[in-house]
Amino acid sequence: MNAQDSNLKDSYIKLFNRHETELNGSREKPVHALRKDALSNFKRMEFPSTRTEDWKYTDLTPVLKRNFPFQSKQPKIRSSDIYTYDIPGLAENTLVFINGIFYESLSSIQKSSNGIIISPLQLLLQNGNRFVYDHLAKYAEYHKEIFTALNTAFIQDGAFIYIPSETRLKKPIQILNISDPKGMPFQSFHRNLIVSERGSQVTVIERQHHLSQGEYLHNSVTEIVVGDEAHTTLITLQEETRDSFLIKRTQAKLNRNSRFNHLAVDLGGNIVRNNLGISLNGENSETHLFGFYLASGNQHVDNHTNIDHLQPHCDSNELYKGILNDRGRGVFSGTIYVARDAQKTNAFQSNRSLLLSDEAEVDSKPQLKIFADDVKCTHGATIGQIDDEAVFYLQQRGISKADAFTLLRSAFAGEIIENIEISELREYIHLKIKDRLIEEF
Amino acid sequence: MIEIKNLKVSVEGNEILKGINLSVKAGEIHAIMGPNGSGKSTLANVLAGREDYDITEGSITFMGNDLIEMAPEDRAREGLFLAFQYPVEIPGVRMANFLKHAVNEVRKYHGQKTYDAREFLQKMREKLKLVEMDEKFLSRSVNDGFSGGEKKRNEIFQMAMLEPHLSILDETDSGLDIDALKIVANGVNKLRTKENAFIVVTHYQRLLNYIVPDVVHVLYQGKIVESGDKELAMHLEEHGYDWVKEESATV
Repeated sequence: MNAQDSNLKDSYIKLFNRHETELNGSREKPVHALRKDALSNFKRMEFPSTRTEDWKYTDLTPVLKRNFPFQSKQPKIRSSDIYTYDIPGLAENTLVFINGIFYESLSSIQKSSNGIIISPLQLLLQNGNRFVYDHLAKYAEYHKEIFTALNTAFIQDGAFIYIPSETRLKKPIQILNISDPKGMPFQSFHRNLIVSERGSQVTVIERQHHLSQGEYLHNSVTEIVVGDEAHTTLITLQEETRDSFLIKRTQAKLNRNSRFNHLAVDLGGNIVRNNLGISLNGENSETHLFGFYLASGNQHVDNHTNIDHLQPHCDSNELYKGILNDRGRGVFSGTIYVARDAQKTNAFQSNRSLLLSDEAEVDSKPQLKIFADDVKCTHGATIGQIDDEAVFYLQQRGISKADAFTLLRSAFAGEIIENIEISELREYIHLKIKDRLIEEF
Repeated sequence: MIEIKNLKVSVEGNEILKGINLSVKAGEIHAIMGPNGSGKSTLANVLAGREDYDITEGSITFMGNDLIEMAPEDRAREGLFLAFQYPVEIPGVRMANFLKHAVNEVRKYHGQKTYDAREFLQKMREKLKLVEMDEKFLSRSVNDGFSGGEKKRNEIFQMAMLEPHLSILDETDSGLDIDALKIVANGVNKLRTKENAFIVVTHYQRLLNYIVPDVVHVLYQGKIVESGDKELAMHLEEHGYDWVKEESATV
């Protein structure tokens, strides 16, 4: 380990010790034991470099050399400040976090009598909520991954969502994360936990926007448990600043006959690393994973997925697409593991990229680890440009060349975005993508 | 409507069209026939403004404008329509959105007000009937996964929506069974008026049984070697193109 990384580790350890003395009464809470365990795991781990196989194409040096301060200041934000991010009619429940801190006054949480819990996580950690402690840190492996260990040691806040059995929520639940650095660097440790019991159904929308410019690091972890016969959908839209660093772990465990759909749209960020782990842990479970990103300037977006087929008759389907311009870089690395007993597995993986400049680059790395014999697995990667024939076809119908390009690029994104069933959100994301395409592509 | 004079066109240094003269007036249907490689599709594509062709000599005047100087989209907005030999599949762009975009662009160009959603849907429904297409097509991606016949009918549907002055049908009959051919031809005949014109490019005579031309031209080795009425098409059907080749060789 180099001196810089070892200094950084020391500063995290000091930060933890200082943090501990400030905790007062909450040192008695069970979460504290978890934090300490995570820290001791962190101590024996090393920060990845491009020599680390899983980080071959993503150089974290710019993140590691910065050593962002841990922010505890709470900027004054009124609801009129974030009004521009409102999508009318989208959600009945919205939890708002500014720089990782929960803002009750900006949030709206409906009172619920039927056992549904929608709450900031920190509150329940303090209350000793049984459902939280049953599941927290059970899926995202803090003893294996350094950033998850850090997140677990420093858990700030996030959303806790609990859907009791046979409860189907019609309206999505929204988590609105707003960054407001005002030029002051900081780091945050966001943590969500979504638990859906047997036969339940829920859609969670997590959005990340920014109010001012600046550098910061978001280390976030979302854990998801999908009960037998339950359906959980998670849609994320990320529009952080172009100087921000985002390291995310999303880890889902699927039980029998369950389904998990995930759709991630990344438009902002300087270096973005999305780690997505799915464990198909019950027979007949299925997961559909979609990702779309835009990378221009010197943006770097890395989608790293691991699908573990552990039981028979499970389906997984992955489609990741990106449009890159300037010196934008994209990475897709997808591992599909099929256990010996996971017969009748169907696993499809596809990564398609549109490169609009000579300097843009995409690295695609599929990995299949198959130990069962009755399995259907396919993977494919394509890199292309806009089809000149299609441009001419649209021009011949009276559409200008510039509009034809925008239309075709939007259409490339459309294959992902059209999977969003909530029309308000779908149109909102379409517009955001179109605006970016017109401005920068 | 369109006046082509001594048009010479090259692709990568090879001269494909060697001095085409053609004049089409409003209300007329002209057929351009010829063996493979004679330059039929090149002519259609040059008129629509496809790049990759070098116009080395000649002029094209369309509705009083110098067509060669115009961008493909402006040619379309001025009322020139090409029904493609191979319509392009565009996944992710829905038919309804595409057509609304296209039609409203043309209307804006002419200073007309754009259609609202309801008016437009009504217009699309009406024109779909012309080519016996189901409304489901409107929510599908442009040509994506369409059968050969559906693609060609879709070209005629778009023609009906855009109401061009001059339509060029590039081998619209290729790959069509007789039923689809009749539907396509029927659509064209219903769209025919005294004000518009058609150039039908085809290898075979069979489409001309249903779309009856006023003038038939035979294109061979980049030149129009013969022009006549619809009897010329019948003659070609009976005797093939060999006599054209022989005649041309003796000149």
